[in-house]
Amino acid sequence: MTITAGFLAGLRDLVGPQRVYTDPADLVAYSYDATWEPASPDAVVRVASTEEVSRLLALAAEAEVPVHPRGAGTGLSGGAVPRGGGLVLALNDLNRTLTVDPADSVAVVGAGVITLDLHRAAEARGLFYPPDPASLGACTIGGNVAENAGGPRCLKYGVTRDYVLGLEVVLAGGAVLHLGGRTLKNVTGYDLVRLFTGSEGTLGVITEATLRLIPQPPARTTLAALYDDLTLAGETVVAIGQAGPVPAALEILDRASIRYAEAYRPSGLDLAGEALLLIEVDGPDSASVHDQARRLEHVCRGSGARQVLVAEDAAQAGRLWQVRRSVSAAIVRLKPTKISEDATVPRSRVPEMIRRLAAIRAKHGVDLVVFGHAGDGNLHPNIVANRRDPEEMARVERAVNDIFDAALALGGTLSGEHGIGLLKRRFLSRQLGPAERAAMRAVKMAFDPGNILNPGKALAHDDVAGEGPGAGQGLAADDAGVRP
Amino acid sequence: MSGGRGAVAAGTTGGTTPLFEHDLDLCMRCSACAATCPTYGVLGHEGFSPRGRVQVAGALLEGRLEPNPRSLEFLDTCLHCEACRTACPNDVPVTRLVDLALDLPDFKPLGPAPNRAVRLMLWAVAHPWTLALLRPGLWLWQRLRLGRLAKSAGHRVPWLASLAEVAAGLPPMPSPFRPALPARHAPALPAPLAPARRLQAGSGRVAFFLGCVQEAVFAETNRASICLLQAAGLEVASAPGQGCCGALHLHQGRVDDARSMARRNIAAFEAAGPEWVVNSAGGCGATLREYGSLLAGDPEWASRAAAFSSRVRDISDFLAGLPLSGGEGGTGRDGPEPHRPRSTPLPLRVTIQDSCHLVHVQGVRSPLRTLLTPVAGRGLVELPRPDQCCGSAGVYNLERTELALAILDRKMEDVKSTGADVVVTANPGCTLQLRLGVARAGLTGQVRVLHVADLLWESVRPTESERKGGGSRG
Repeated sequence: MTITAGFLAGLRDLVGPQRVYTDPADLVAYSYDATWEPASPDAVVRVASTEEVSRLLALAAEAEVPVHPRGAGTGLSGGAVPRGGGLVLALNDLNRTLTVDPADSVAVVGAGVITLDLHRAAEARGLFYPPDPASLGACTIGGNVAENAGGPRCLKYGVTRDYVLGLEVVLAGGAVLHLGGRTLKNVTGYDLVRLFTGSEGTLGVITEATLRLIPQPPARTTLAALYDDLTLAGETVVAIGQAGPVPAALEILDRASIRYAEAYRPSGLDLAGEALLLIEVDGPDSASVHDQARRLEHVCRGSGARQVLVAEDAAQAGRLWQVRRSVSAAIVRLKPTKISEDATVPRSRVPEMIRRLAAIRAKHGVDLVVFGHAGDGNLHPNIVANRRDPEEMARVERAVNDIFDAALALGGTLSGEHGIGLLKRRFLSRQLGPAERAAMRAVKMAFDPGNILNPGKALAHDDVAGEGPGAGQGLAADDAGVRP
Repeated sequence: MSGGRGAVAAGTTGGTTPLFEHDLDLCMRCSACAATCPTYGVLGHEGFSPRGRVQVAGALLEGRLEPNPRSLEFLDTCLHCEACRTACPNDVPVTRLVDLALDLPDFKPLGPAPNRAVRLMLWAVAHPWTLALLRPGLWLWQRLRLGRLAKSAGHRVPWLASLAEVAAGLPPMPSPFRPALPARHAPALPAPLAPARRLQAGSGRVAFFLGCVQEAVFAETNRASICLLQAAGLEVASAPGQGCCGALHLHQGRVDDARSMARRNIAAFEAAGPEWVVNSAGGCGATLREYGSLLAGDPEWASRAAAFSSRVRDISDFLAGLPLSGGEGGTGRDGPEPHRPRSTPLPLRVTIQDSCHLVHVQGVRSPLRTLLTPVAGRGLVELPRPDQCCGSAGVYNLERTELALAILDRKMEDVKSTGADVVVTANPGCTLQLRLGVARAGLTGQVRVLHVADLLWESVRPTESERKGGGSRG
């Protein structure tokens, strides 16, 4: 890919020279997201309005320059990595719109608004925006919608797509679409809001979202259930799903996760065991929360929990969740490179997936730990390794391969919430057949016939190869495999 | 300290390659740091975020990127406030990586020499006799209104103008011809409230570290701190011979200067023999607590430095750690137990701007809240970002005036949103910077900027009538 001097001059005319960057240092700063395989763009441009996005995409379409939209660069599938070169379109300055309307229970939010800022704005009006990806203090709403982000609360409250009522989207040629609206019910025309949600920047650039808000649940508490067997914890997840009540969050930690987290930041609680379930319940008042906690305690004990602890106060609940939050940091003390997968299985298959993960760990001799959103089958098996050790990385790659096969064999999916991006494209054909891929290709062609928007992401490379300037490089790099 | 160019230089003598690889590998690129970074908050460009700086430093150290003016700009605008370190789940030593990269030889010709204002300041604080002249000098500066002159000359002598900007936040200096403190302070600063009791060995004898700028410019804050300690029932020993802590020199890479200042201070306090070394300047305190690592390679001083550092406590941390009330003489000792002085509520709405090197390096956050909650009669209101740097950052406001002012103006918007009458901070540089901010925001007369000890003493000190009646509420 080459960007011509004329194209850069056009960009500078459009947004001003101080927001177009080509210095090698700027290109390094926009070469990565939260994955491990950077790629340098040819230029970076920051935009501050929908109109600038529109005029920029018209320019790029005409010049056939690949455009990689980027929110905060916190994605976990390489969606914002500009592989193949071209232009990084930094959208974090689209952060001036953030209005909460209690009358309609909606928020209108610029794509660059940080998710936590929306949480706070909603809370200030007694309202609640549930999606809570782990990066919520940094990630943007535009990125959340483009990746259809999830989080622990999705078990009870659903994922980002369950809250998107309307979108403003700019297409590759510069056309600006206003889709959906402020109503809960809306069946006028095709549901393009859902199509763009989770489209990973390949169909259009999201510039603004209208999001549904719900009342803030005022009361909450936390339970911790300890097990002598990880599979029993998995079976509890199934039992809770059948007997209810629905927890606000249901997280699992295996023995290694508990041990590392406790060594890193001791909770002061006695949490030794083979597995730990952390369960949060919320509700309209403390009586309801207390009742839910009592019923869940009963389910946990009935499923073989050795011990169940109900947090006495918010401080103790905080210490319990601190254990969960510490795991990620704690395990990289062991080895620095963390490969975080998010293959997801139906809830009923959680116990079997746990058994298969143990077998994969033993077979490949990898440091695999399990901690994640067990309640929705999104287990997040994590492997820690040393990326400077090629032999170990080869074993990791084989293990990842087996994890995908196991999840698909159990009726699951390659990715629950991280997206396909660059990292999982070569596995896509294991889950999607030729007919499904052809349908997706047709959608891509309809919206972006020049293949300039995030080329080579999300769709399997054979579906877009040869169609655009970025596709060829994507293919070559992909063959190198999962290099975290 | 964990940041600061000097600290890096101190640790790089034995070869660093494996160390930086390990540090780089710690960064998972999650960007949990971005929201805490003042320069990213103002500029919104990844290269000015902690994650961006780590990745750019990594590219430079691994040879994937040539040092150039732009990479220098990314790295050299780091405030070294350490907020990212607090936010980072993996404890990535961001400033250490930044400083390692800035130490690359190819940066030397690109890097600007420390500007004149900075050099003047470093020279001045290192010499006791210049410090002795500083107070009368500043009095003259204020009397002759040299600040205006300096500002008007700003287009030709920018360093003088930036110095004048900062000096505008100074309190009125007392006249050198009237050695007593100004009258308005007289009731506030009596002789020790109660006679200093002789405490049993090991029961909490303290000595006070005065600091250079703090003592020269904010002597009242030091007096207030000492009065508070005495009101707590403690004997405060003097430590003659103490001087500047060396923080500014350390951050400017002048490690040998900093080490000799450290030795001088350690010797002075060894002679005083206190159990605790209390100070009221967050940045100085952080440096004092790092003497142990600064002198770790010096066989004669290593253990003395470590022992000294372990005794250093910030005034807020120290006072908040005392029990609420002492049993008057009821313990069998010859004096009351040291206890936290009782404060009366003042009709004020108070907010706290945490000083970076107090909160992020020394880890002192809650003590200020503990102490000020009973003081703030109209409420203690948190800033939206209380632990984000105000842009002072040592001599950053002299070196990068434009960016420092942008950070400051954003901070003042936060201050306005709280409706506070008083902004409390814990370090002289922060106080000066925030006073400048108050003036820039048009809040002069509405918002006061005070050190935590100043406000606390306002609420603890006996009123005129109590003093006349001979009472003490200590």
